[in-house]
Amino acid sequence: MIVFAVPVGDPVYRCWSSPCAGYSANSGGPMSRRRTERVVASVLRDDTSRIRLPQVIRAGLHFGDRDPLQAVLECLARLGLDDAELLRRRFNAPTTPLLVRTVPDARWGVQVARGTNELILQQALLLGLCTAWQYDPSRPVLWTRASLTRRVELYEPAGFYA
Amino acid sequence: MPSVRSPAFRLAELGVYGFDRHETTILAALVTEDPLLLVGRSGTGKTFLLNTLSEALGLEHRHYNASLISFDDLVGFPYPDEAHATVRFLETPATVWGAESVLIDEISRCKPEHQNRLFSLVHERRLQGLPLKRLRYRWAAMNPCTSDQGGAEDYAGSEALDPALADRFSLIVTAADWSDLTLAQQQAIVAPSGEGLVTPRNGALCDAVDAWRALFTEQVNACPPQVTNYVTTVVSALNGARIRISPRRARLLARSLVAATIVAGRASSATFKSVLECSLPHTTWGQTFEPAVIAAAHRAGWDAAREQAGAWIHALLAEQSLPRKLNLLLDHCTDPDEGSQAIAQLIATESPDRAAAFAFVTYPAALGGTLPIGAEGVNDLAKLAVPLLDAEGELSWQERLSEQGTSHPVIAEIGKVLAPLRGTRLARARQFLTACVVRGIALPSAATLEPQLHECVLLLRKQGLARAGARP
Repeated sequence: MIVFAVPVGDPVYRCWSSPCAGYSANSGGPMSRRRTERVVASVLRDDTSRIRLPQVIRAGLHFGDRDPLQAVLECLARLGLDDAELLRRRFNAPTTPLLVRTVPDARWGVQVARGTNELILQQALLLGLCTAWQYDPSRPVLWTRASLTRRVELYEPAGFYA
Repeated sequence: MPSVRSPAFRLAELGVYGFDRHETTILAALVTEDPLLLVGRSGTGKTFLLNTLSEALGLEHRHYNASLISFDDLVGFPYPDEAHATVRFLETPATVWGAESVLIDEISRCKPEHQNRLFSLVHERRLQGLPLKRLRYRWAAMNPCTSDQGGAEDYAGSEALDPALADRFSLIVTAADWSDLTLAQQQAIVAPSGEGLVTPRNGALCDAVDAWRALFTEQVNACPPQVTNYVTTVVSALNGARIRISPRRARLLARSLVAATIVAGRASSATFKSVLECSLPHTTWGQTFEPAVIAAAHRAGWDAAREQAGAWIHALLAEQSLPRKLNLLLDHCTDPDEGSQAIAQLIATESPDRAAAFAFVTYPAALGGTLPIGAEGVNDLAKLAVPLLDAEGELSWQERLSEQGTSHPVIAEIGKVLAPLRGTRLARARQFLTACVVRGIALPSAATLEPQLHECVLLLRKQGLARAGARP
């Protein structure tokens, strides 16, 4: 058996490893190219799908440089409230569990620097009832940096079994 | 075990207090529509409870005092029909023919001949051999019988019930006396408002009873093994301890347990013990026994029930077919915590594609609150299912230079599976399979997985669970 040792960087090596090498110097391997395709599979975003999960609501807050938790607690205090649970009676949040789609780069939502206390807390209530997967009105309102900085779309699961 | 879980409806909403300990059992009697007997000292709210229930349910109600009643009061005045061929009864507002609920108060003070006539009313919903077609509820109340009394208070004339009559009452609930009540219950009882008022029809109670009754009718025909195991063990233990339990009572106990489990929303030791204690008619004829004997029988029964309860999880994990797994969950899981445990084990033991398929197809129903699993189980399903309902990513593959317009090889395989499908079945299958590819979940058997997905959907639809709703 004869073994050719071709050092990396050698003009011969560069020729064999270039995209057009298959034609000029057949190395014996399959002559193929790599293809890449972007795929979207979503029953939440596809309006043409036969199964539709209707979007109920969007929620999100943009805090800028401010600390999310501090900003929301200050809004709460300005309304004279000391417990996030009290917001349930103030706002009509959905009463059934919903599916959550997190949209990290969403541009919609309320700018905390410009929004009213009511508007900010309404969004904060919804976000406090969401996990990364679902909106659950039966759980306590939990405000964390993660929950307050999510931008979410909430969907009804009803249509899945259509 | 924790205390009896509060049912969805509370008797306190009707202004009835002091029956908390056996609340689930009393509501279970409304579900089974089997005869209910309340035993207790005077003034403990027995009659008030039963009359209030009839008003809240909007029932055509009759309240008879068995110590004063004459048979004509019940049936009306007899007269021959036009053809003189048979006897009819002249109905009055007090006769029993149109009644939907009957309360026989002071049943232990009844004359023996009337007891025999009431027997067919309680047992068969008949009088004079004629059916009482509208009659749903047969209730009675009594003071403790004379041989079962201690202390200074004496209920002269409250005789022991004939065991044959007592054995027809499915549930015998003892009303709590003042010293048995909590301070909050005592304060609620003494509040003087509401005395003498008629309770308006309570829509929440009516709706709850209707919903429970529908479930009961379904489940009683396929009694959960957990219940049958409990009843057979308990009855054998009690008979062994010389507390005779008839085969008929064993069956009544099973019916009451099924109903109580539905009312409480889960099977628990406390619920089963309460129902067992209320299924023993012996005190009505003066027989007493050690509470420790009942507690021991219950413990043995509950152990047997739990053993049976766990068995379905093993069966679920061993089952290969996803729809049959789902069926096992729906048929046998009565405890949401147990359901969550089953889901966690299923996800941990199944291959990623099968676990994903199960989560994908069950999560929307679980989120809607229609599956018997707790919040942890729903969350476990969500972690797998939500990324499959909305997936986006790049797929890469090698294409021969001599070829043009090829697809990702797995997408091409999926295409063959999807080709014969139509409508929403196609949409669901395409979503699941494509999302799996995008999320990097290998699909070694897409062709066999898709029909299982569809069967799960059909099963959920068939059982009326393919809908969104408020979580119970």
